[in-house]
Amino acid sequence: MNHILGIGRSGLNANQKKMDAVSDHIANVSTEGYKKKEVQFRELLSNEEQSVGVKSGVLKADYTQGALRATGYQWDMAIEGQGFFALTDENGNVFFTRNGAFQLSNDGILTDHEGNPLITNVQGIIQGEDFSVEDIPLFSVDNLQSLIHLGKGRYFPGEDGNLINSIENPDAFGKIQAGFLEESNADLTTAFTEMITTQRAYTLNSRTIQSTDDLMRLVNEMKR
Amino acid sequence: MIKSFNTLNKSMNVLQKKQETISHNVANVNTPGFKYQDVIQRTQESHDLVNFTAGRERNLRRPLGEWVFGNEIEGYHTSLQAGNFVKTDDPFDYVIAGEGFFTIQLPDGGTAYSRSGNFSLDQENRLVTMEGYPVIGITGGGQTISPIYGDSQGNLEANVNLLITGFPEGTELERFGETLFLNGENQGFQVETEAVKGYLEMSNVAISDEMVKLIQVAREFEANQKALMTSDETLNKAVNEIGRV
Repeated sequence: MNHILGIGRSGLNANQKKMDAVSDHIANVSTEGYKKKEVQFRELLSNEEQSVGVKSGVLKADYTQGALRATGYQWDMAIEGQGFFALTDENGNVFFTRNGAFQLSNDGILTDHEGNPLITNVQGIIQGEDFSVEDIPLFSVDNLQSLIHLGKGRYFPGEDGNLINSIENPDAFGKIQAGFLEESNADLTTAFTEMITTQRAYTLNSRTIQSTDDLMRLVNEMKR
Repeated sequence: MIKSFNTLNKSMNVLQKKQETISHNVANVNTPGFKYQDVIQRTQESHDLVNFTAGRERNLRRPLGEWVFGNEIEGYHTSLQAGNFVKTDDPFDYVIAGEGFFTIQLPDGGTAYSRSGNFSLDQENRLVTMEGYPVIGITGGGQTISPIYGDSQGNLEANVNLLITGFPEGTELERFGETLFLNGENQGFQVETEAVKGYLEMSNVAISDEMVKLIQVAREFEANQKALMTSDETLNKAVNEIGRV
């Protein structure tokens, strides 16, 4: 009967992962540019008549627009619509983000609050030149679900480098609003509802484990 | 008495299978497109018992009547009741508002059917299920097409709809795991039901039913165990204590 315990355990693990994503969601309700993750449940493969349980994993992210909040700061930017800001990290790799809280460094380069420079030109970074907010290009990829989450609101577009940008395809992108920041797309009502459902499912799975445990105890007590 | 051990043993095996099925249903209470399963049991076929008597009528074949040796699993029944529809705003989530299944292409070339419309685009922009199997569609001209391509705006290629397959009433589909079903040679027929975008069909597991079944199985198992212990005790007396001086 051990495999029945395994089914219950798979239920517990799957709901635990969902709970982690929901907690992450609630914790990031004020993080600028945060995009919530979706946990999907799948029935595990069964061979013929043997049931095996359930599995969950983070397979999708929800890239819907967050609300815009006016800050009045000159270098705060929010994207209204599709697209990402592209920045380079210290190793020279490109990453995307929706978090538009930038500042001007001493060398006249726009960077984020950790000093990573913003790419302000399709060819590379312009240093010291006058640029206007409308000219900053937005970048994206064909398939949003292929973006790899790096944490801290950063997304890695993948090795292929097949990026589309707003200079060549203005229709596929949104506009940049200066003086605004995009808020998290977390929604507390949904998060709390999901928390309750997940908690219930967790309890139910632990109930089946308890019940199976009772059966196994009965089996063991057959011979005194 | 030995027969009673066998009967109870078989009964406990059936109960164990029931426990497994209930656990699987409960584990998948939040899996989209999941259909719950029930175990159907039956008694084994009865056998005619005979014996050959000793005594004055030695070696005479005497029929003793019919005997049923225990029960067994007849099969499994999948409930195709619809689950609740939930709005997700994901452009690649679909529900079928009515009868029918989504048609999925398996890697070995076979076809599978599913009620789970939890699709997304893979690296090559094909519409696939969560496991990566392409979804089969149908063009305006009636041609089946697979894979279907989509774009990042949430649209599919023009003039292509998802192929919805229906089956005659009472067809028992084979479970394949991953909320998919197979149907052997019977291909089913195309159904005109529409696939609605932006919604997802959740699991059809009824939690109260499953909890009651859990209680039933536990108590039945306990009853079987008590019967087994009593048989054991009786046999113990017959073997060890009869005729003890």
